[in-house]
Amino acid sequence: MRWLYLYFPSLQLDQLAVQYPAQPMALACPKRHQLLGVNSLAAAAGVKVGQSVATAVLLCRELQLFSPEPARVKQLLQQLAERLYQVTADLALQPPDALLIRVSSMLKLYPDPARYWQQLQLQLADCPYQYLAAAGQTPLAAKLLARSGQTELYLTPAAEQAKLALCPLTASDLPVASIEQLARLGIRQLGPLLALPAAELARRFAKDVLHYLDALTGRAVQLPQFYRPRLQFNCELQLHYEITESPQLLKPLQPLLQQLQQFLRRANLLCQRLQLTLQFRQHSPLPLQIRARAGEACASNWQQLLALHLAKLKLPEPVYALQLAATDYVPDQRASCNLLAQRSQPLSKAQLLSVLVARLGEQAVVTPLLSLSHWPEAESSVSTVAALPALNAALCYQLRPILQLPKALPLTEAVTLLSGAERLEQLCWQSGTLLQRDYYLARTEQGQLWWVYRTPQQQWYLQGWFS
Amino acid sequence: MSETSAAAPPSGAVAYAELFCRSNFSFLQGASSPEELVSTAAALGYQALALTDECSVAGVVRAHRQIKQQQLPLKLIIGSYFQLPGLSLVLLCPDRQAYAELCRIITNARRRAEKGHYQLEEWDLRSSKYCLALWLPQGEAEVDQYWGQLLSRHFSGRLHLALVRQLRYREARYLAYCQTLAHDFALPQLAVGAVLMHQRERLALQQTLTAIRLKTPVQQLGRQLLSNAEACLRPLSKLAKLYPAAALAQSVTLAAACQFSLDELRYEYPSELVPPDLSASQYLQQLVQAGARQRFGTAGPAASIQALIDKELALIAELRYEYFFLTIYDLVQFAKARGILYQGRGSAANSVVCYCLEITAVDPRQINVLFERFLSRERQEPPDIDVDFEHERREEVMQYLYQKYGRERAALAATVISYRLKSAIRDVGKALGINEMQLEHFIKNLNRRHGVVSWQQQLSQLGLNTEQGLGQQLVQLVEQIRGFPRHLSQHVGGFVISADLCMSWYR
Repeated sequence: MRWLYLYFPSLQLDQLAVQYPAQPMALACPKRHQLLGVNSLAAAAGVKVGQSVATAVLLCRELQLFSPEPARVKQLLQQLAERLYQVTADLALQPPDALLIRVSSMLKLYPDPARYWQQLQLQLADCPYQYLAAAGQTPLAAKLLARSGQTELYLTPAAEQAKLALCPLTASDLPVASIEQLARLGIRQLGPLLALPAAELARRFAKDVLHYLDALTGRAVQLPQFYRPRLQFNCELQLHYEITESPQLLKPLQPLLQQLQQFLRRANLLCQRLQLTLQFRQHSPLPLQIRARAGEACASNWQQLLALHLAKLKLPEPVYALQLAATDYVPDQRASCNLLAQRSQPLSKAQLLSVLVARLGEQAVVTPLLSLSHWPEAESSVSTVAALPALNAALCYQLRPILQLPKALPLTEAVTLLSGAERLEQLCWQSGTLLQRDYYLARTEQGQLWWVYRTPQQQWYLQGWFS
Repeated sequence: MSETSAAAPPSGAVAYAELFCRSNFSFLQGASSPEELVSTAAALGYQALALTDECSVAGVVRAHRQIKQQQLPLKLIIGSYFQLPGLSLVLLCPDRQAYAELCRIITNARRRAEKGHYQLEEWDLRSSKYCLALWLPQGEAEVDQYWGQLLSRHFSGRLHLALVRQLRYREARYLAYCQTLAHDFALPQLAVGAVLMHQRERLALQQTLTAIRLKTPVQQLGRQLLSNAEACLRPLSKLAKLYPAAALAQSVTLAAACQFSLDELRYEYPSELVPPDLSASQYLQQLVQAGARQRFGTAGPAASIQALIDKELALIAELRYEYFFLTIYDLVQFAKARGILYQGRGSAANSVVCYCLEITAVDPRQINVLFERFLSRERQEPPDIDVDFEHERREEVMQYLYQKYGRERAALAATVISYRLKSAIRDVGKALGINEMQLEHFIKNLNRRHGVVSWQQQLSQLGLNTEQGLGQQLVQLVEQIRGFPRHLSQHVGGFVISADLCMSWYR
């Protein structure tokens, strides 16, 4: 064999089965209301692929329907590729549901193909996904065999040709129109098609058919785009002695942070989040998240943030191992610093936020936030810094008090109206009426600027204060 | 009362003419039909209403018809609204020449862009000689100075600065800025409402239309939605509080200057169909006689049939529809010469003249023809002659028309695609953020063949709570949006042939 095709026929459903173990489930096309895949529990109730949603629900009332999520499936494939990359080099993602592996190059390392296959199976052993594997002389041959259910791996070329000849054309990648055209001629399997002279095929069918057959039989070789592992920093350290006080962890972390710095500098990246996992003998591992909002590469800066985190940490028991993983990379696009500038520069806003979050915790640092709505109650909110979305500059063009009352108070003080009215209206769907308010900028006798409004009933309310 | 003679306001009341109003023919912007707008404007006591859809005059006929049918005391002004980067402008038609000019500008702007869009160019404005212009400044000094100078130069004496008051953010500052601009360029100011709805209750629908247009659920649109319902037709008493009296009076003055009415227009047939030494009536008579000999033999038709022919020809001559018959005759002669299969059908089968001209093939001796079904004095509209051509060779007939009349004088007709129930449920549902799969489920399972259960009840049976929340909103909005024009499309076979250039029809 030269190529191995791993076909995962029900990737999304298998993954969902982990969350819902005893649940009949199916994937349904949102547009056509037809089932695209079913799990074994649903199949046992008589639900089949191709049925309409209405029929399926009638057959199995507990059936849970999901929409296909191509992005999620691709992510699962990516994860599978990451696993297999530990033992094999040339592998390619074949979205939506397969992986292709070039075996021939790996046989230098694994002279025995059976041993190699065993290694691959080991990597997939604890995955919840069903798969079919087939080997072939070309990628398309392996694919066709897998999709036809011919899953023998160690076939001689002659035996492989015999198996291929029996494969139905409906499992091939030929255009549907060509498959139908061939079926009208009585050709439903690959064997009779391969037996036809190429000149005749070229004359009677679209050129896609010839291209496909050339690629299938190896007359034209098309290499897939091979998978390249994602850039990741992840390293572990077994401590020579157990540490009982958290600040002492900084010392063994220093070389890891230096490695991180080298890694990031080489890739010209900044890292926005580190995960430090502390391993204990009895207690379950303790993960710590450390964030740098603007991204950071410098080991000493990371060390400062880590020191703040560790200072308030109480260890449940001595630590015997550490794991440091970097996630959320961003390109390093910072302007070059002045070489001759003083070293003690003030902290940037992002650095200050990172320090505050490290010191006080994520939930303790909040910021007022403007949202998109016209309606004041929905316009201003408070968000934690960690969850702060990128601020849209266009949002800030209107003069609004950033501190608004969650519920407006009746206006009890005499004010002078400075500008307005700005009328805001919102439809109340329940009653079908429009809620109407006329907003004014007003000044109190003490000189404070208030945002007040008047209702159609001539009642005045205070909405918020300008600073 | 005539459309062009609006009622005088009661003494002491404010007089106002709304000169910037978009209907639902400004697709997915306006939330009221032309009929609703003119009816409400008349009820509120407006002197006039200018229907100024964006780069379109598609809604004016409906407004005109509504005024006629309901005998509304309102003057209809034809205009259109245009946008360029940094410029918002309304062009109004004071006379027939201005109307032709506006049609030319719209045609040119539409032809420059993809279907459904338009691209106005400075050249269009520089070449305008007849239209009146209302300028709506953007509030950016540099941009407004540029356009102020350009418009003042090319619309000298025809340019007004339009003041919009909709109780928006920092409106007082904007109005002061407009006054400075008006002073700088010596422009008269007038009040406009920038109307999108005939009543304020349409705000929810307008916001839904915005969501459909921007392809974003209404919950996520935030400040892209209208902040209030002031873009509606407002009572005169309220306008009197909002606008300076001079600005209101100026709107009436300008409306009085607009004397153009759609009543002035009449279809003008191409003249080359008739030989120069004959009148259209004589030529048609000749053709019918020749056709009669061919159809009924050399002895000619029986006396009863001849009487029918004479009666039909007399009525055609009286109503001046000779050119209409001659145009169709010319077309079918071309089809016959080329061997293209064709057949006249429908009410034209009731006409002996159509039979003689070989437009239809129904022998009046075999059936009782009732000519009044086809053409009558009371209907006051041209007869409907449907001719089907062999569909594979329809293009040949179209090319013949282009060749005969020229591409400037022949054009394919457009048709307005309107919201039907299912398209309304789909678009409104998406705009409200309802799951697409759920919407498709509703649409697929609605049974419209049996009228026993209403669609609202069916939605309820399909699991939608139509009593509250999103379900209630969906039902209310779908009811409102049904019948709203959605976009323009190409008519399956309609062709317009004109005596003059298509882009300045009715001149």
